[in-house]
Amino acid sequence: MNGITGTEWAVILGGIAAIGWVNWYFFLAQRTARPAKTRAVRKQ
Amino acid sequence: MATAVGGPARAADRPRAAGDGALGRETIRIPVSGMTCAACQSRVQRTLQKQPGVDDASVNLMMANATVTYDPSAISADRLVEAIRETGYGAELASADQTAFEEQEARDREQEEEFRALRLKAIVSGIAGLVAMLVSMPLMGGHAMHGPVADPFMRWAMESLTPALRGAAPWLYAIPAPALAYTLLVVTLGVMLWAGRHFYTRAWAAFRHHAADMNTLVAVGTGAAFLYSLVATVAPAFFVSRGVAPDVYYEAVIIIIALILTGNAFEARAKRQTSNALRALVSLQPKTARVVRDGAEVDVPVETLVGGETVVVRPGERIPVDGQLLSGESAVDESMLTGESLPVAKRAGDGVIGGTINRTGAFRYRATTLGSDSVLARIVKLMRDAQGSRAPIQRLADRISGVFVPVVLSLAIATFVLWFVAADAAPAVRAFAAAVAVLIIACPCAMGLAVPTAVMVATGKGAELGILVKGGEALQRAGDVGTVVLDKTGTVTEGRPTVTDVVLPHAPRIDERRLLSLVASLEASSEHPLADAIVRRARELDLAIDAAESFASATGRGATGVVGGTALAVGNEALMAEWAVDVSPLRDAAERLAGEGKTPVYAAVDGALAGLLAVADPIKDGSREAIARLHRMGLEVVMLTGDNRRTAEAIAREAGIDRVVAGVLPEGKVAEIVRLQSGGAVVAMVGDGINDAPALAQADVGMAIGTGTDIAAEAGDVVLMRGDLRGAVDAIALSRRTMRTMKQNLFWAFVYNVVGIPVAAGALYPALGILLSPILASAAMAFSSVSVVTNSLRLRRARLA
Repeated sequence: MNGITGTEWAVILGGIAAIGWVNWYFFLAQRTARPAKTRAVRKQ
Repeated sequence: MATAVGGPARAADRPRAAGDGALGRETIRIPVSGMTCAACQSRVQRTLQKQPGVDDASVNLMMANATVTYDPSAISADRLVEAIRETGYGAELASADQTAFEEQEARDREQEEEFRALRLKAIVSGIAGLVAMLVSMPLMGGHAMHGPVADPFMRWAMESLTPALRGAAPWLYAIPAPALAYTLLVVTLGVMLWAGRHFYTRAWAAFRHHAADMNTLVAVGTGAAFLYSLVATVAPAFFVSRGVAPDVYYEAVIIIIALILTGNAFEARAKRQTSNALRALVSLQPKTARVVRDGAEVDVPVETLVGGETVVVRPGERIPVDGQLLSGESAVDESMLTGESLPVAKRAGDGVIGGTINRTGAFRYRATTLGSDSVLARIVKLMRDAQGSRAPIQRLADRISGVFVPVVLSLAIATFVLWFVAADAAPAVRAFAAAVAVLIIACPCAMGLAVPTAVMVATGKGAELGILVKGGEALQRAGDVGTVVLDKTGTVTEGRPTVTDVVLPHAPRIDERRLLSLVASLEASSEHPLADAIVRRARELDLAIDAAESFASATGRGATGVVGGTALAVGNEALMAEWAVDVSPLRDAAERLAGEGKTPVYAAVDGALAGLLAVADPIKDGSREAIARLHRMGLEVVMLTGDNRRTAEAIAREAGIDRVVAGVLPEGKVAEIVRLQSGGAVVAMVGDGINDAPALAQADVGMAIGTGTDIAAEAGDVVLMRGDLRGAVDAIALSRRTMRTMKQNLFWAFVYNVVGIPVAAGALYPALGILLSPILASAAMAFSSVSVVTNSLRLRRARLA
């Protein structure tokens, strides 16, 4: 991995983080957010 | 991809509550606006399904509505609407007093407006894109500020046009680069905010709800290109200081938006065509009717007509509403509803259907069913419901589109990283172009359209042929049918038997006329077609028909009773055996008649055999042809009948049916279908919509032979309005053809993405040096949806025979 520059490392790590965030936001956060919303609705 | 342009939620459909008293459930249809692809549809559907009190929710992208079955004590309709709005789409309960016609007309207007708006935006942004391309050209080619255009396609186009532009507009090259870049910035911003605004607003609405759809991909792709260009325009030194050329992609952003809008406009037009058949049905409804009021004929709007009024129709006019002829005779063209090309003779007492055309004579009739109860309105409703329903094959597309966009976003990020690290030259530029191409080419819209467009076109095509298919599920099941079970009477045969023979024993107790008179008097109380034949024969011979003192029907065997103090038993050998009547004197005659395809009916008077009547039911014109076609299609054909074996076999031989199950009682039909199903067969039952309702319900596909005015009320998954067995063959052929179209659509939608995404990511670059331009990707994306809809439209011209 000697050929990889610091900028490239930054892009790789940033990319992995971005992919992780996308999947968390659209798949996992969606599930955890719903019960809270439902409870809020029931209170109304 | 489907696009509804801006605006508030629009009411195209009124809510329909179909209360189910036993379960306390209601079904409602809510118009939903703003859904553009399968991911949107999936999101709204999931949200509705998760609401407390909701049993089932199905969202249809094509019809832009949600059908929800729910418990009104647990959740209100307003809360359902609110739940849809919370997902970022528009929804509202429509007016409850809209008829099916008004609903459809409103939907047509919306679709037309949608198409016009998209076309205008596509044209304007297309022109802006061309201008932006020309204005961008002086910025390329070693300009002090601007590097080579990132998009390979755009670079090729610009390089090819540069000499011509230099010659035609040298002044353009004299304008300072920052001025050109700022001009492009303003034009791009204008296009994004006007023509492409809905991509961004909807993508944001989806994002806020942890969802992503087609708009997300377009918004992220074009938004990233725009932001990159904006920084390069405002602060080019930022890039230059890091050794990166301050490229701008304004022209790519505009052209991508223009191409996607163009695809959307084509798609909106093609989608509109999928409901042409429904529109044609709605257009059958005349606006006015000529009625007799206060002794004078006056033209009034049909909505003001009341039941019982006398309507006057002249030759060549369309019959305004359903009714019953009072006077006059004519031939009526009912082909638009039944598919039957020959006009039907009408005389006093006959029923007429609103929307059909009076061909020859003038007549007066009494208006009966009106408004939403009319045959035409019920057919329109049935078709709308069918077109809005889902075929099971859709689930595959639903599952994929539910996760599609986040996966594509991940792939685009991975593409950027790989290119940035691995590119041999200009890594940032290439990484950026490839990532944007991945975002733009990925298209969940084609998947969302693959099945519903085929269902819509097929149900419309069916209606043109006099076949009402009650939904996508029935359409799909009919394509899998391997065995077709036919009811004999009224399906294979005319269902209007006539008395052909009367045989008396050697020493007759009574003469032929007296026998017929007695039997007809008893059978007058029966509704069986054989009884009707005997009563008709007695009337033809002017015989007395007395009221029966008592009557009892022996299901599947005949009838017994008392007429004028005489005890009568009329029916088959089983009934005679029950009554201990010796039939041996006439058994040979009965067998001979049965061998000729006639139904022998024994008659016993006061406990002794008095004679034998033979009733024959002629085979319908189209039955032989239809059965031959079913055989050619590789289907097994079984005829079920309550008749005795010999009669049934004679009819079957004549009709070309290879398997007969005779002597079946009505409840036995269900058992026979269950038996066939337990052998692994997918069974279609073709029969009378009322008498055979249990068997139609048991079969995998129930096809009801409809007759005139009770068309839409028939049981069964498919109603054959022509009352002809050929309709059943057409229905199965249409279904097979539709399934083929759906599979083609799904295949191409998946293949498009499976191939397109890797190519956009640069999979071909290492071997072939091919990189896909984001602009070509946007053209491909537009093409994919249009091609799916166009493939479905081919069903309209399908030849089924």
